[in-house]
Amino acid sequence: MSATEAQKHVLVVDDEPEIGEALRAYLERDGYGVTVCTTRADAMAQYERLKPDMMVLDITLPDGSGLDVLRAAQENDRRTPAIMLTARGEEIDRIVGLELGADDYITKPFSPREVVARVRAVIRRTERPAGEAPHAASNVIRVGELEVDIGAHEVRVGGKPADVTATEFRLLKIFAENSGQTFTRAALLDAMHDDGSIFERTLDRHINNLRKKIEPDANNPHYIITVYGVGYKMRHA
Amino acid sequence: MLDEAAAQLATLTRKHEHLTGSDAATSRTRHDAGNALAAVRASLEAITDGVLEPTPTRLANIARSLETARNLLG
Repeated sequence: MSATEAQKHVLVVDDEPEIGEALRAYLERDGYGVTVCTTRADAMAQYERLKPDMMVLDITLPDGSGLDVLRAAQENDRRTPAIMLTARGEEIDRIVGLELGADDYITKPFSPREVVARVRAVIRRTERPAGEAPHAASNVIRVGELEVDIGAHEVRVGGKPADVTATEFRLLKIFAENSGQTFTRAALLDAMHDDGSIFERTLDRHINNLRKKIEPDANNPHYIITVYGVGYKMRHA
Repeated sequence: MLDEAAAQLATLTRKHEHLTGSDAATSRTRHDAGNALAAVRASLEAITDGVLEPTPTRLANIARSLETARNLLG
């Protein structure tokens, strides 16, 4: 991280102190500011106080669920990117977390190096690179009032930013690059190079969430059209 | 001590990966063992990478978490 780049702050929430300590050491070495919490209550308080740039959240905490912290963070005006730490066998929590807007998940026992690499990747893809013009025309796909800025990883509706998750952006990018083409759910998952973290039924949920953010009327979609018995397509650009 | 801990971690991680079953007790074991193994792996890697010092407290914590995982996974 360069000296001129503003330091990003990462909130790490895990009830195992050794995990928090190791993640702190790696992240600080990479130039991040780090706050470690071991309980849900402390995490909620620190989230409100710090407004971190990124969160690494364990799901199971001694006094509740890390999903509560994630939910609070997504309801905030500024969506906070988050990576969930889950145990094997916690698929339901993982699905709920992704539906709530988490950007990624890592299964325990994990390598702390991998967590740091994922933190770096999520921060990189959720922020516009410094100096990049907000409207790099060559990389923007327009469908009516909808603009999908591939380079800047941004979505705008009528010129106003729409705060979409990483998964929603991937979906929208596929639709926008192939407007008019109908996708089955399976074909969408293939096109997203999904690693199995998204299932066909949760795909519908992601699309519904996306519609709420980009459609003038989510109940009567204008951009992402349901093709009954087949799947979805985006209206022609 | 670190090499021995790494070998034990590898053995216990394999056992953890092969732990099957969806009943509440197995889920709990899988979760708790996963936490203990994650703690060991995080500390071991950080010490090996020179990110953390191998203090007596950290080494004792690694031994304690390995013991926890061993008790859970048999």
